[in-house]
Amino acid sequence: MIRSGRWERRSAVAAGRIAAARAALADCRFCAHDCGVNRLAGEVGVCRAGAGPRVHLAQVEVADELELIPTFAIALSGCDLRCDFCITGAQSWNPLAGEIIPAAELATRAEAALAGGARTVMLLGGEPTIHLPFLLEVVAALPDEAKLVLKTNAHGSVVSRAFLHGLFDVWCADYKFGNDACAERLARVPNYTETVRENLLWAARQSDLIVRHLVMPGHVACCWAPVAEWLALHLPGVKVNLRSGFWPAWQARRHPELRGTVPDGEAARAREIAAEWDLNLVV
Amino acid sequence: MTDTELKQPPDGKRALVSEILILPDGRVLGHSLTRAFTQLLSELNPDDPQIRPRTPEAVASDTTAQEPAA
Ligand code: SF4
Repeated sequence: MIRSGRWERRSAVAAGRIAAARAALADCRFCAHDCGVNRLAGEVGVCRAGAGPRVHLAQVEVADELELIPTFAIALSGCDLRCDFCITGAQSWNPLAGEIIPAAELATRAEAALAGGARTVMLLGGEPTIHLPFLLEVVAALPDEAKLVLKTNAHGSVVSRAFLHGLFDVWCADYKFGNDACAERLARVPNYTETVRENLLWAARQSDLIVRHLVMPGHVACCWAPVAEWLALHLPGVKVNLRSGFWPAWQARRHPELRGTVPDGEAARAREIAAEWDLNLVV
Repeated sequence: MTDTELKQPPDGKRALVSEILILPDGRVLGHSLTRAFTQLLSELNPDDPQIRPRTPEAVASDTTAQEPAA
């Protein structure tokens, strides 16, 4: 992680990367789907996103980790995963949801929120990484001293990591599935485990990292248990937010086990597993 | 109604958006919680351990909230 010296120049570093990120849209490999489509010419890959994003939400929120709130959350539409249980499925699966808001306007609103007591500015989605050029524009327009959070599905590529390096104080990253079969079935994403682990290890080296896992009904043994074990062994002491608020949103009904909330017994077992691995839980 | 219409009411002001699910047992699950909505939820259930530390009063009394970025 680049420390204090970074903040004097973060906006300039981000600004200096914008042109290259825009050019990279012509052969998009921002996430591990590695589509290679020309988004500048109207081609679309798995995420269906065009060259520029829409914003489906920009407001001060308090639902995230206590150390981050209040946060000015900027949510970009579109995502490269297809999680059937997505809580913002209508916006995450549709990059045309929401409205076009220039980066400068978002930065102005973020600055007002910071002046009004917000502690951080959070970029999220959908998945913000699929909109890298715009992400860089926002960072370039924000004050250097603002504490920035990237909320991500950790499915980015080595290309996106190069563009993002050193720009965010905190990576708040999902580790949703404990095995590739569940990832394929519930989010239509191949090779999930290797990708997410690579991203988490990288993020931990260059920023503060909070790993989130949403406990899903019927997936404590197959998903949470291996995630907990891996985190304990490979990222000891990392902050882990074990989230219990699953609800059967969007298209969760496609999967019989996802048609309800997490039973009390499974929630308790999930907490036991966290304790067994001595995870550093945050709320 | 489109998303844009949802977030920009006719008076031109931007609406804030929160979503909640109230379970039959009275538990409330939520996301995109704003300060105003959290205040409302805390008045409905002052003992909710998820909501209580997120109320405007609780966040304001957290002295680390105003620390500059590290
Ligand atoms: S962001 Fe990912 S899913 Fe979208 S076009 Fe690029 S490589 Fe494909």
